[in-house]
Amino acid sequence: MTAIKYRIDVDTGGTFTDGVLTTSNGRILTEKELTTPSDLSIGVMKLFAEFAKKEKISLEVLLQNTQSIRYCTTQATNLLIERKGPKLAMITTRGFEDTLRIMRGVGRVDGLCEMEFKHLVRARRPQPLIQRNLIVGVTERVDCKGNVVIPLNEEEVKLQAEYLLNQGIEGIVVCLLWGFKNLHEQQIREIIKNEFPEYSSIPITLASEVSPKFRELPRMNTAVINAYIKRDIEKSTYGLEMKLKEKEFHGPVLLMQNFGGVATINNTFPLDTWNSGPVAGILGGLFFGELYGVKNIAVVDVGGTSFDISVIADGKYAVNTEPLVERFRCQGYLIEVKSLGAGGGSIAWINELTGRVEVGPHSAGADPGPAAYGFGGKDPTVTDADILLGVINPEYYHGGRMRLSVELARKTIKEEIADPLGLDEIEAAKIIIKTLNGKMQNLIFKEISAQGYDARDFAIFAIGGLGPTHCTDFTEELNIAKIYTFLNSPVFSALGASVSDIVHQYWVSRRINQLMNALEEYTEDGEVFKLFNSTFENLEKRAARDLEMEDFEKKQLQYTYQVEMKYGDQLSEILIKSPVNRLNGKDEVKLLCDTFIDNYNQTYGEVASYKKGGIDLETFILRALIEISKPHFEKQRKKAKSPPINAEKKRRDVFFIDRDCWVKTRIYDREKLEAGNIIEGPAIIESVSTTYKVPKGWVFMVDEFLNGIYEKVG
Amino acid sequence: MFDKAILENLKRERFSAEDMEAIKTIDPVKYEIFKHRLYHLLDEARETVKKLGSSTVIRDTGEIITGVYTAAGDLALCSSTIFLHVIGCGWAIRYTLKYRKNEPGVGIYDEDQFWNNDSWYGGQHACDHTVFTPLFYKDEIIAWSACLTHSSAVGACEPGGMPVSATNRYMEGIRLPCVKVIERGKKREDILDMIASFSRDPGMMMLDAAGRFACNVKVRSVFKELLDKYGPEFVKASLKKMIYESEERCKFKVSQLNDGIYNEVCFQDEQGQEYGIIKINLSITKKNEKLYVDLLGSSPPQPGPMNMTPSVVAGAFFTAVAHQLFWDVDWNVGLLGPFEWKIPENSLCYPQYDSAINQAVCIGTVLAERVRRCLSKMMYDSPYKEDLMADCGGVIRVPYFGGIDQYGKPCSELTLTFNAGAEGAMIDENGQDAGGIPVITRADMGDAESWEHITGPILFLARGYLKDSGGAGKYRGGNALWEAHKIHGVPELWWGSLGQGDKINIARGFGGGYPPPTSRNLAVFNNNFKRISRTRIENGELILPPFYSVEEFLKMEGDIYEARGNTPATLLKEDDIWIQVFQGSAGLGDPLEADPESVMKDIREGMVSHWMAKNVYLIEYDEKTLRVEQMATERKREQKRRERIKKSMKYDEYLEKIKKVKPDGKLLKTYGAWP
Repeated sequence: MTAIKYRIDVDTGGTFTDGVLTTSNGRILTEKELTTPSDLSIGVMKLFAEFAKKEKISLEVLLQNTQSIRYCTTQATNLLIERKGPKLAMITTRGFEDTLRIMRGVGRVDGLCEMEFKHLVRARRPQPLIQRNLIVGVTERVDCKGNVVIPLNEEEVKLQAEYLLNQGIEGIVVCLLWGFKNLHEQQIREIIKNEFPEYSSIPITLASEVSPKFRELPRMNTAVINAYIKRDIEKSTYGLEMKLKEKEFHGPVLLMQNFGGVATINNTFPLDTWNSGPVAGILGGLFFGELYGVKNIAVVDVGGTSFDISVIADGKYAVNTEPLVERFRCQGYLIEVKSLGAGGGSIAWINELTGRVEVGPHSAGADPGPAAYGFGGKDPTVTDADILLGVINPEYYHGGRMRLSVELARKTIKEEIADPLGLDEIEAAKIIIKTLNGKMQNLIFKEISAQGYDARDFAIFAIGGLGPTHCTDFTEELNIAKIYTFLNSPVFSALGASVSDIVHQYWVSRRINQLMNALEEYTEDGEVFKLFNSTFENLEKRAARDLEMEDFEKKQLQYTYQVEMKYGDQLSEILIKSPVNRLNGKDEVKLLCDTFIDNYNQTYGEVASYKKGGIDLETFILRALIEISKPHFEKQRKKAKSPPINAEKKRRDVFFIDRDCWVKTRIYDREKLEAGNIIEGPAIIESVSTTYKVPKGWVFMVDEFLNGIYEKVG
Repeated sequence: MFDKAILENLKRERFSAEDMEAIKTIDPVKYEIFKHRLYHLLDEARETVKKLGSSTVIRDTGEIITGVYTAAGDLALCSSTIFLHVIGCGWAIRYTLKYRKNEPGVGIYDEDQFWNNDSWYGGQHACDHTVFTPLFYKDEIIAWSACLTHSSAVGACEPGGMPVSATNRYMEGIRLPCVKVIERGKKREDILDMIASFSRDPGMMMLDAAGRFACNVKVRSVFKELLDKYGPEFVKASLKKMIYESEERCKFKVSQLNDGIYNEVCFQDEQGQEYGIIKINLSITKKNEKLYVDLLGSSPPQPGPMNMTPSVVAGAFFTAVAHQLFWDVDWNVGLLGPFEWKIPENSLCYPQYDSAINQAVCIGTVLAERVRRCLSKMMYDSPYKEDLMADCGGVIRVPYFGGIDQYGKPCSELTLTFNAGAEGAMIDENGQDAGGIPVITRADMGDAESWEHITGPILFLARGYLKDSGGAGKYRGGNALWEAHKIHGVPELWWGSLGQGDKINIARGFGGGYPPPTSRNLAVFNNNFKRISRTRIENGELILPPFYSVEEFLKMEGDIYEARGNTPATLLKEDDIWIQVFQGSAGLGDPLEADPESVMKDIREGMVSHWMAKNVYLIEYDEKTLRVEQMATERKREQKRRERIKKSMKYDEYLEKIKKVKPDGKLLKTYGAWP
């Protein structure tokens, strides 16, 4: 008999480490363990031990038969928040030593929410990652075309490097103006290596190798953050790999990348692991979107402290080309996830200025958590309001593993919200939920609208502990008619990792002026074709070299060619998928320009176009992908429309905000529902990990994959 | 011609009894959801404009306002990155309603868009372009959407759009007084071609305009959905409620400040065309929930462009209050609710129609700083003390250039490092170093590479913090930046500068704090760049090129030219260098009370010099280890305090002494009556 083979996917979040185990015979197991922040591998190994226990085999046997492990780590976020990285130094072009600290001025408000940046007199920059006295300049200057205006002075480099190396530093970042246009950065590295061999263990990061793209501040930040988290990310991930090897795992540990895909530890830029968990959730969304034939999706994750949303429009996710990484403006092509400080633990409070109820951004977290937990929380939260309104069953929270106190929820809402406003506590709870839903709804609207789409054309994938509970409310105003929920939604990001391919991404800035000119004539310049073709050819070579080192064959490689283009005179580019990978004549140039114009018009409308400016190309991006087989989800045979009798639980009173009244409501056990079951609202469906609220006018259908779909009727 | 009655009306429309009833009875939760939806719409539209624009002022400064106005033209809600311009569009809408609506051949129809860049019809100066569109429900105008951005290539007598040599409005480029440019959704290409034909950089003008058009189309499309969903009555009442709520909250905050008369006089060294002292005389009488403003005694209209219109005056007040006191309300016309105004005609605050006014934003920023200082005085003994801030630099200093760029295309732009100006000290911490100026909420000075690559033929040689540029104090003012550039890749380029404050310091310290140094412009011609740009090592010491510090710059070989803040365009050749020194902000409290360890930290980070630490902060310490000698420091400071007492004089004596001092008459040509 052939042994069962496994694939394991792990997502370490702030509170829980989630895992999905997929077997070669189509079974899917999920598991959650507490995250162990001091050493993430402890939580991960515990998770594997639990899977082994469930499979009734030893850990060694499980891992011997595991083909791959994909891993989303939250360590980059932790390192940046806690400022636990190494003592770094930086060498830059003389005259620009303060660039990192000035943050173009805008760093003071980047990443702040509306009320924070409006309070401008108190808005402050984040703490820098490199001390000012460890940033030195060297005399050199290259212009935007790569011409050397001031040559590099080697003696000066030696003096400056000596100073830095005597400061007890643990790493050096080199970022020069236009450093990716010539070899000054490489020369600096060589000088340091040759002159100071005793410091050979000190890593030197060149910004031109991390992100060869123009605009110095984001390039500098990208290189610095990469260097800042590299040591610990590598230590931790290689450490995990070692532990797994000791337990007989022989495959690679693949790290989830925030640009969508996985890669070996060796081929990962550490910064690409930042926020990779939520990104994996989007890939899961994309996968299920294809499974259901849905192309326009908002993946909405409502957790304990935050509300994350990402938009898939026309089967494609949005990409952020100047992402804010913990408030630092960086470069990259990250899948965009927007967050709001609003979730189950979000605290409701009265704004003294307006006299109205606000929800979040502060959260009660897991400890003390909502007042109803009974751990000493005094602030009213969204979960408290849900309990008071009868939506969440206090006896069945986390499947009954935790008993909640309705009285504590009532007391805190009464004292903190209802009494000061002269309301009763039910009215106050309603306002809390309505306020939360309004915030979520507005963010969904904004994110869909930002990409030039209409929210009414979208389906919602509601995940996270509170996604299925509030989704019908926060989509009400947007006229969204279909909402998908998933049996595995509590571990959806880990599930998303399981459907990720191996992907590497490369980019370089190479400006091509006036592919199309003001007269709408297309270039036939052979030099332009040569530049275009050689740039993609070089990126392909890098991709092939990196993937061959991982033992993949060249023929397995699939390339996606992207470019950033703009109208002449414009300062911002848009990212498009290039329809051509080589230019040989003006027909191909026209095709490329037409694709740009179509994308531009789709995003901003035709009224914003300006062909008279001509069209320029700024940056080339190559995605190299090796497809990996995806887990197979078995379809179940549909059974009766009516849920089985044993799925019905005792009815209870639930307050439905849409109807503004209490309703004696049917309650169901989600785990006992079968494919084909249809439940009409008003109803509540309870599962171990979440609560589904079905208002009147909606039905909840269990499909052949046992996922739950809300549909609006009438 | 503009309408005086419209221009002088700085108040919102009066709400009727029915309006008030509707404001008070609409569902509060539904209202909140509607308001946030509208805000997200405006915010997202603003981001879109930022991506579409061509001007650096749009992309980097983000000088963009997207707003929704009531049917009568009162701003109800906006997403803005700049305060000074926020309410400016209201006058243009009022004018359009009064003069365009019933005009045969014009009219106001669904999907029309109007363009205004004339300050007499609302707005700031010719570079600030507002495009606005009516938002209809059936045949009724329910509201207006407007988008304002700055485009500098307006075809003025100098490049950059703010010509310092202008002496009248006819030298300031094209003016569009509420002109219809899109009719029922169709662009009026003839009008747009005419506008483009005035510009040195038509591509920039039209791309920026495209962004404004797209913004209004987007807002209109979603607004119509909201009207269908909520109904016109709810929407109208909600917009008015936003204004009403802000106004009530602002009045409440004012009522918590101490009653009194708060005076601020500001002297400026630049009258536009030459050095000359001019004055803004501000008095604010605070009584209960009202603030009575009087600008009587300010200088007469200036012969150059340092003038403003009443809409700029209102913008300056809006800037001050939104920044410091009313930051926590929805920004709309309600912020002006507590104010009553006296703006004297025939003054630089209200000049003649044909006066040049292109530097209204410069003088407006100075006025905003004076208002802020009055507020700081009011806030010192109030529940809002912690938001009190000492003076920011308060001057605009913008180099501009024009010519043919390195790609052979026309260029006409401003550089915007001044955006990262510093902020004054707070009551419990140092001011922000180069973190933005009060006028602009999300200022971004842009990357040097972005400027060099896209904007113009310049090469940055240095750009960093200027040591000691923040005024000393118990808490020091924020340090400013300085930068050096050379003309690069082209044989020549027109270069000039606009701004003020080289000779007279506009910023003053607060509560014993010191003012910051003033700003400077320097250029060096014939400098033999190739030779001077090499670093040498002599006796183990690095001998650096002279453009890495202001002190060394002054010793550079070549012809050094110290330019006025307001310098008309001069032709520079390739490799000519100019440097720009921006102004820092003021300190708060006596420097003798500064924590010595905080000053040592500043020394380590290159923000404060040893000279300053020893001679101004009077700290005794070891220069190598930065170890402070506490006892010796305290002794030195105590001695200084005794010296100060010895030097002191009675206030009456001081007044007598100061009365005898009068500047040279040449400097008072446009000042008005002395003192």
